[in-house]
Amino acid sequence: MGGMQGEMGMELWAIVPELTLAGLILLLLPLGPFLPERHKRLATWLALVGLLVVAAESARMLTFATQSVFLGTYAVDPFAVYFKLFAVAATFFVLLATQSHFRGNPYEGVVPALLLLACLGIMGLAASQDLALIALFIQLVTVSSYILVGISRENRLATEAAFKMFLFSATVGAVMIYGMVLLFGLTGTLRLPELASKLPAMPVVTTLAAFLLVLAGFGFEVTLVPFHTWAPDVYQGAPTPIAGFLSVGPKAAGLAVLLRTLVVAFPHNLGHWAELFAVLAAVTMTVGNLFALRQSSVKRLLAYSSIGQVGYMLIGVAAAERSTLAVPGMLLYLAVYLFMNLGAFLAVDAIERHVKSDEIQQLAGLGKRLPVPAAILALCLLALAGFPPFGAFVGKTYLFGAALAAGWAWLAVLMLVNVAISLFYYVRVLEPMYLRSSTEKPLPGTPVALRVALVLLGVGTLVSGVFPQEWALLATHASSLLAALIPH
Amino acid sequence: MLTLVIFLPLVGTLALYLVPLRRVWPWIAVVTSGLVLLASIVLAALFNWQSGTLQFEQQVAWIPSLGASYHLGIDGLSLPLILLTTLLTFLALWYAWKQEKYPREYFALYLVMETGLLGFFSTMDLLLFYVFFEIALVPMYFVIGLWGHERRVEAALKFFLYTRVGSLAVLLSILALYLGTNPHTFDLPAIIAARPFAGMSVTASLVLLGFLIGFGIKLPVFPLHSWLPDAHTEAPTEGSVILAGLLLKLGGYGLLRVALPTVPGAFSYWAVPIAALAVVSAIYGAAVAMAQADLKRLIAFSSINHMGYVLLGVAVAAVATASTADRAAAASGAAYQLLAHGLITGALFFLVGMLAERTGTREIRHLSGIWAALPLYGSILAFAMFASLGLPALADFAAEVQIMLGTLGVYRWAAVGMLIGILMTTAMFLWTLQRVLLGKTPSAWEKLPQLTSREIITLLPLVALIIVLGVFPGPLVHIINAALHSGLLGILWRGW
Repeated sequence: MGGMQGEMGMELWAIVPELTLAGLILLLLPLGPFLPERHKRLATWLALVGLLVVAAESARMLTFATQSVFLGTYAVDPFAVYFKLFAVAATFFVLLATQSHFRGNPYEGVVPALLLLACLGIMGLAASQDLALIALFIQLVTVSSYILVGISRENRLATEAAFKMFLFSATVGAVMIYGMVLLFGLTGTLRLPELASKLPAMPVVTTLAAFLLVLAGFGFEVTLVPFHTWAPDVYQGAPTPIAGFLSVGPKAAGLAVLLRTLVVAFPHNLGHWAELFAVLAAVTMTVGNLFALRQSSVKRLLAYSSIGQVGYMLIGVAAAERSTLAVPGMLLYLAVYLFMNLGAFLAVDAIERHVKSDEIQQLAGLGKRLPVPAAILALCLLALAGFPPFGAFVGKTYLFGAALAAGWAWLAVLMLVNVAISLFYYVRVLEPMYLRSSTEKPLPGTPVALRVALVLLGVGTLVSGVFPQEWALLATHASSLLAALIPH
Repeated sequence: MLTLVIFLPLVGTLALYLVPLRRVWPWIAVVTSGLVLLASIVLAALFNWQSGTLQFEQQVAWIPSLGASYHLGIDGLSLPLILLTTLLTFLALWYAWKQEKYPREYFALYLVMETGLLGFFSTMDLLLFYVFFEIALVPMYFVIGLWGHERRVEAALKFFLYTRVGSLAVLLSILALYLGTNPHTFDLPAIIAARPFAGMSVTASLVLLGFLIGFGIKLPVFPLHSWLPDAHTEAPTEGSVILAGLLLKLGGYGLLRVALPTVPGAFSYWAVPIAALAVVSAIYGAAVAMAQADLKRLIAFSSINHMGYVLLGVAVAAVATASTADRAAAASGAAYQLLAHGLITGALFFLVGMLAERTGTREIRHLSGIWAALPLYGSILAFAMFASLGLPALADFAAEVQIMLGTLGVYRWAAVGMLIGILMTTAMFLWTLQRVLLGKTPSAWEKLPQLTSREIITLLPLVALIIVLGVFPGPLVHIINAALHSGLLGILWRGW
């Protein structure tokens, strides 16, 4: 398959969800700021309803035949649909939190539109088969993200974070585009399936150099070490729901585009990327987990923890061509990661609103003072640490097995060591919440929408572990068809 | 039926959180665990004691794409441990009736732990086995950390990290078995039948190493034991009872159920160093126990001593060249020791807790003449200590004799080492008895309140079972042996 089908290049049916979302954004962008103060939340409700529609439209596409549309630049496959649904879900939960988080903020009305814009970028990235499109959508995700990061202008940390993110992403973006240009110069095409047929004949060193430059851009989104340095500062400075969104949405998009690029454009381990990513996975998880050990801010700690988590998922990328467990494992893990990581961030958000700080010591006694957010945070942390019966444990089992099956016993053992280390810092957060008592009074409740999001995320974390089969099947379905687009 | 027994405690947990009345919580906890106990007794009654092989089998698809299923079944090896679990949990909750600090959470954690333990002892699927393993361990972190004594937070962390490393090592070995079996599966009988690592090879040795680290931390065996004294010292009384009585059994059971049948060749090859480690562990435990000033710590170290015998029994059972009779005796002794130790140490920790509650101290030097002050208590404590040092006609003796006989025929040096360990334990307990129970009663201890009926009811079943298991070991030894000899799960390697 692959290559060009549909001479017309105008297969609009293939982007119905994207079009719906774009329409919604075009409606909300001008509408948001002009909504009267009392009705600001209308924007959020509209966005939520719109996302449900987008989700339904995307889900319908699971049954569509795998094919390339728009002159081979855009893929219609379950892999893309999986990530589209992922983006919609992440945005949905974050909207439930931003609805109350930004109340009273002068830019309250535009937050939903910006989140939808980032969501659109992620959806586009999931399906793009063309390097130019990929660059475009990466910019879309990044630009909307850093506006969101800096939207609380009175907060100095947030402004600094936004600026840092902007500088970093601009630099990395330029490097990435330079790499893409190199690839274009080598092969005369930007389309991934065509690259696959031309690259093997090209000089290895140049190909590799170009690829590494492109990797910088993808690595930024994924927070791959050494392109991760922006993440802790930005997550700490950003409004917490936005930090949660960044830790989930763009990361998933980055992984999607990384996997698609590697598997489609560099098939059969062209340039030995499998070994490269095995090492990168090892470095990323180790750096993330080691740096997380010394953090005193929960958000920074979660930032490093999410780098560690990405390290585990990168095993799925590295072993993609070597083990049938790898890609399904990564997709499964991503889904659970959405629940548990977003759950942790939103719980911290709920806590932060009362405690006005995200320092670990300030969490003392919260198990009693704010039972629901504390319980969800505890559950998500245990899930992140890989305890059964939460979903991450099934995902970890897959990835673990993938590393062993790929012949990288060292990587499996290293992952094991990392998982063991990670417990150490997750416990540092759990401990003050439950084992230290506080004499202060119980705190008032959490906004309903946020509480709904927290409970849903908690339930998702648990159910995905107790009944993982349906999920595993969906993930396997989504990953098997990724390979169908590879020219043989 | 098995599913009902396993998940009944979770229903109780749910009930705890649905009922807002504080008065009712202890009732819910005790009634739930009582029902579980009853259900397990019914299970035992329905169990075919003649055959002793795998029964109540149930297999439902769980994660077919990963080759994992919800596969349950119990045999002569697991049934006694299930009964031990339901009994000790019931007694612990009954004893904890008056828990004042966060009672709801306290009861809920024990019930969750019970589900984990029951699941662990009755699953035939290795992934599920690991899941239940962790479910049984995590609540204990909170029990120690939240309801423990002064240094509880550090002790809880140490416990958590140690056991986590152990369970991950087990997971790695399980995955190696999974990938080694074609088609990939987590089903224990299928893996044993496929014999991926049955012979001696480097991989098989590594798999064994993972199991030894994981289950060795749980037993615990020297030098992986250092979490245990702290965890025991800091845990609340009921926590110590469950920890020593049940959680330590995960290690022994894991070795017998999973490690021996799946990597018999490597186990046989490495049996000498493992047996040596076991002997060192037993002697070390006894020696260090003797030096303890804290009564609870002393009992904690005596556990290391007793679990050393378990490992020794397992190691002897693994020796492929030894006679089947010796191996069977050692293995069944190890399994029997798990039960005996669960009952005796459970009783001992209850007793120490009762004493500390009255006197406010566990320091041995502050305690003397307790027998004169509390005659009934003193008698029961003396009885439990005698049982623990292996007095004939009591449960521990029946276990140690089997291990000893098995070892004698295989490794004479190890038998001598074990004998030294037993002698040291005897000396240690006698000396402790003398210091705590005999001697002059200080005036402060003269007015100590006698045992309450609640406490007597807690201890009575344990005392009775210690005697019954000592006097009539026959039926249990029979089903344990049946489980050891027959079917795929028969752990005595037939030298293929």
